[in-house]
Amino acid sequence: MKKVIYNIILVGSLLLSIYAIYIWLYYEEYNVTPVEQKLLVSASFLSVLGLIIVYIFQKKGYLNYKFIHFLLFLFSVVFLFGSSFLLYTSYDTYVKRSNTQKTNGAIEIMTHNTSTYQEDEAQIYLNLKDNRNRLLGYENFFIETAQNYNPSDYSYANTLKTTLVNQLATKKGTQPYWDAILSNVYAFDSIDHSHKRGGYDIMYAFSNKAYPHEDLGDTKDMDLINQTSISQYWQTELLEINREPEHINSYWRNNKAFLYTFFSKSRYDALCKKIVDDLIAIKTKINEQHNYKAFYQKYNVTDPVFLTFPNRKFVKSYDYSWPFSFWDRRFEEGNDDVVFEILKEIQMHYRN
Amino acid sequence: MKKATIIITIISILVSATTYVIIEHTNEIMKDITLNESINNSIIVANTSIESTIDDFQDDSEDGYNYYYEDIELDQIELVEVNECMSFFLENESFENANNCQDKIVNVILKENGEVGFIKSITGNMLSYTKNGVFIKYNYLKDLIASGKSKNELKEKLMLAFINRYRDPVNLETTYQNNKATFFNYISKEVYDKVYREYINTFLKSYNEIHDEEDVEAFYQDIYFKAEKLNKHSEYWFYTFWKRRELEKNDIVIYTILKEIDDYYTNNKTIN
Repeated sequence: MKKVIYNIILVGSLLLSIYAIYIWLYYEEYNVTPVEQKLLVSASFLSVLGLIIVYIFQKKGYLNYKFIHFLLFLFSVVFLFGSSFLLYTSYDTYVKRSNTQKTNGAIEIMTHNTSTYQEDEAQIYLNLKDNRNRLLGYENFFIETAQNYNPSDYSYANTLKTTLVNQLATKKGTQPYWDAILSNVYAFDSIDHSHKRGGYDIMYAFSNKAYPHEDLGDTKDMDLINQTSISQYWQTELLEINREPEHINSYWRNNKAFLYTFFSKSRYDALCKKIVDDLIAIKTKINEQHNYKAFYQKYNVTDPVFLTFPNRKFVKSYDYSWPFSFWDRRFEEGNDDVVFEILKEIQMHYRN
Repeated sequence: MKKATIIITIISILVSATTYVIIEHTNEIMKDITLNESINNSIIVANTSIESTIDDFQDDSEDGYNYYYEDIELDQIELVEVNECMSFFLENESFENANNCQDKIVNVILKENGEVGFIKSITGNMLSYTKNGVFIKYNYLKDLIASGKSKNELKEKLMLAFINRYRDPVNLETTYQNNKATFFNYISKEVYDKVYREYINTFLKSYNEIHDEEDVEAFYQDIYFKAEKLNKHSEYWFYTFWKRRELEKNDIVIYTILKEIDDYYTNNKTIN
């Protein structure tokens, strides 16, 4: 047991001494912190302790090897080196610190201009100046961006169209929305309040297929931009609107007040009456045919036989075939009854 | 070797003891030095900060500002609209009012910097920053608002477009109530006394002078007559100012606000 303890002490002291040597060798690159200083001191003292213990043991005759003598000698030398190194660094530090203290012994009194500002007052002025500079910064930003702006990179007209369409879409379900769209559809002239399109002609303005929208290019004609934006918007709406009967019904209920407001009786008579009356008359006649559903199922307007239904004479009495194909298309969409009721309601409204 | 070992060990113990003493002594010196260094450092810091603020407040020549630049993210629509407006401005040195150009650009700035930020920028623009003090450019507001303003630069136009929004007394009152706490904190009493007090008192004084008169209309007529005939519009600006405010129906609101500001900084009254 004693041998074990002895061996541990020996080995521990040896390691600490090696550490002390290492630090001493690399002193230049090694910034010795106070902790390490203390470590070195302890290492050295422990080495001494180890030495003393070893010596006592040796005296008591436990070990009698020449090798031990040699080790003891080595230990003492290491201890000497370690403590000398510590002495050197400590003294060096002490000298440096004393010198620093000597030169800064007197505190310099700095005089300053009495018209300068208090710390927080100066801060407020700096803030104010900073805010002024921010506005200058914005000014320069606008001027520089404008100087680097190449109008052909962006189409002003198309950008304006996007703005107009977005603004219009937000107004859905209001009178201004319908006023704008219906004025556009009927090509109302805002100056003389006359319309340039009416009745069946408006159908020519809209297609039943989606075509790519015409690019406005760099026109600066605001009227053209307005017109094209709204009509392109409405064209998209017509193609995308939900045509299921329930939706047609609710859409009508929610918006009919606006349509009635836009179409005074005189306007209605001038622009819409003929179409509505024709559609109702034709549908009434078709409904009288017991086989109309089967017929519509089988044929559409591209078939030559289509325009013989219900009979050639009746079809020829109208100067356009559109109302007949209209009802076929409504049948295919499943909303022909609903549309029929709505048209009858409109006719009744304007009859009084 | 035994003797040598013993001798060397004793020497090392002595050396260690000396080292220990030196280390302890150094620690004491370090304590003193740290204290002195910190005092010195704080004096140096305080002096450098005052030194630097003096440098910051070197005389600004009117047109010799350092170059400042701010960046704003614009979406495509804003980009096109703002640049169309700016292209017109660069060519014609004025704005195309048909397209609400001034308002569009002001709105872009407001989106970026906020209403309070814009107001702070205007207050900052009104001052000259010099080594000997910070002063209000006394005729700045008059030049800015008066129709025949001397500078036609972009930022003056934008500031005027922004200020015009507050000619409406309701808008002015609401904005003032919402933001007065911010500004009372922003401008300290010292700054107010040094920079703004006299200026605001001029307005208050002229208002009181006008309304002490028995016949206010006659007073105005007299003032305007003198201003026209003798071309003394600048001298009487602080009086004609109140006449113009009366026509815009915001004179009482403005007077109340100015009075409240003056009371706050004089008596440090708590604001409701």
